[in-house]
Amino acid sequence: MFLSLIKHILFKGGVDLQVEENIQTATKKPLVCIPKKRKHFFLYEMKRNWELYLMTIPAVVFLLVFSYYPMLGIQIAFKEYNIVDGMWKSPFVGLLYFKAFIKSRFFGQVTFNTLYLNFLFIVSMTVVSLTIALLLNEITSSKLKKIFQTAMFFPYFISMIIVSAIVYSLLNDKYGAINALLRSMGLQTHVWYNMPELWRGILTFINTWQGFGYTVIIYLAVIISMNPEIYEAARTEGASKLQEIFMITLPQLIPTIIIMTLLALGGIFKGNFGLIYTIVGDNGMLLSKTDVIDTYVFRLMRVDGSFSLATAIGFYQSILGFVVVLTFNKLSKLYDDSMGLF
Amino acid sequence: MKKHFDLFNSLNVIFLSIVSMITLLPFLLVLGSSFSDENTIAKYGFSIIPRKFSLAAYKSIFSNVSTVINAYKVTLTVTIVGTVLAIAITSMVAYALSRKQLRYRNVLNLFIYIPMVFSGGIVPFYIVIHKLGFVDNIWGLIIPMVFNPFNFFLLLNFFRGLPDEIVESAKIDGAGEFRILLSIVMKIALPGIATISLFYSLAFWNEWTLALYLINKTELYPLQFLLRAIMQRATIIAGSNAHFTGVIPAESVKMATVIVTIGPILLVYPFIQRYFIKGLTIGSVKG
Repeated sequence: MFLSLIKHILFKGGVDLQVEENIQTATKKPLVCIPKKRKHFFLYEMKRNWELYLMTIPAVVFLLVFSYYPMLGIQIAFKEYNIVDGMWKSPFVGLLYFKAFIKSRFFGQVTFNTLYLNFLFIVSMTVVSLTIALLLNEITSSKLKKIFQTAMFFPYFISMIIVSAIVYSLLNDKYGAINALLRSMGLQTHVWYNMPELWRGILTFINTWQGFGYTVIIYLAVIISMNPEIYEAARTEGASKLQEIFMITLPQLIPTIIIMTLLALGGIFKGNFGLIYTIVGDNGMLLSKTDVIDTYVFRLMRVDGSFSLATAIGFYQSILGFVVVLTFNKLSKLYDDSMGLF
Repeated sequence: MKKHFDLFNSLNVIFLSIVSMITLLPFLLVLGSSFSDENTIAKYGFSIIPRKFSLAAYKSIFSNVSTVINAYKVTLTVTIVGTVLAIAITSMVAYALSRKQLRYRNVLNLFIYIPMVFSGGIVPFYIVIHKLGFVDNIWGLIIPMVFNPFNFFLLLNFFRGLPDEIVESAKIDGAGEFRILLSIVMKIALPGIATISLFYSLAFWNEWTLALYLINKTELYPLQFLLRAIMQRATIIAGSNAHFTGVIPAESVKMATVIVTIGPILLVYPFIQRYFIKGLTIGSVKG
């Protein structure tokens, strides 16, 4: 969800950039002192704006160290990594680890779980937050509206560790509030953490519970920016509230829904590591239904110490994720030309 | 017609109240349980209203000074130092790239964008942070998070909205770029700076994955990570407290630690949430 917003902002940023550039090249008169040669231009530019370039250095160094250098580390996937030789000198093994992964039973399992869980997350998040946003928009008292919004947005601010503690307080078989409630009503209690068939649903619920307040805010912001004259016209024609929602607001929201969904689909290969790792952890009972690429990679790295295999799977995930991002970026561009960066 | 409206409205209010309760009840459950007597928890389970009120959990947490208080210190240090550094780095680069006179700004924009869509994965990242000597080092919880491309683009958007004349006239007066950024631009774009400060500080406060990768020493555990350790075995706090007599309040201690961990967020949340909403909707409403 976060990633989708990043792109959303970026697309706008990207568009702005383009427009700016056009205006600039169209209106700018050539500066007198720009040297013709490319090499000299670089030096001239550096000298002219040295203070500004100096300001970019910390961020550039940060990204080189924590983003670009690790990208070079992908070579570990093609090597038999050992700590002594490091990522550069470890012996080359080609596609060995990719083949091993594709042959193992985990390949199908974690890929399916990642895609399926994300699919459930996207559908649930969209349906819930859209419904709530439409209903919230109909609340006339602005005070009440604010109270609802404040309550719904709060879970977005807490860490996954806290979320996992809350889930524990509800679902723990001995002390959990849900079992306590069942017991007090004389019903059968359950060991929830041993029931894998329930956990895709539970994780979807938790994910929606934590994030919907944020998506509601985005949908609500779009609804509020809609033209009020249409509603006035509808009201004078005698339209009911429900008619207003289904015939005016919802149709106008469709572009936003499509874009938000396309952007969310772009992240479909990214597992929600925090959610699954903190709540399910190493509970072997549930892994068959909840183990995603990210949690599997982490286990391989920390528990088994198989760095090369873990990197290979991470690379497989990055590549597929990248292809999906490009595809859906293209699709959103087809839908609306101003979207999309590439 | 009028009646229909009222029915819809009241049903709507009831429904949304229920949804709000669903988001808030779990927090009340944790709060209630943290004030519950350990024996009643063992017998009846967690409950929103304590069956028997008890402060034993909080006493246990705060009597054993070395763990929770210490984790608070770690988290506070990380959050404050990290946010200050992050704001410095992010505002400098955002200011530079918001200036149209910078000819390579599109290249640099792309340079910052690429890590958002493509990453080397956690293994090479893990190896890098280990190589940098961040194991059991408080800087390991700060440095890998002091820059975030998302916050950069957010602030860039703010800075782009500022009129060029301000900077130009300051330049004519002979001010250097650092001076302009610090004493003019950051003051005018204060809402933007406030928004990303909140994003950064929340991220630092809630961070636990870096601790998972790097921290082995208990005294360097940040709050979130200590909570995780306590959730896994309550004895870290209660068990090591030799002076505590009677039942070790293991379950209520878990709940009390949750409350202590989200306490500061809970306190500032009503005041800061509108900045978050502003920051989050900035991209989506513009279109």
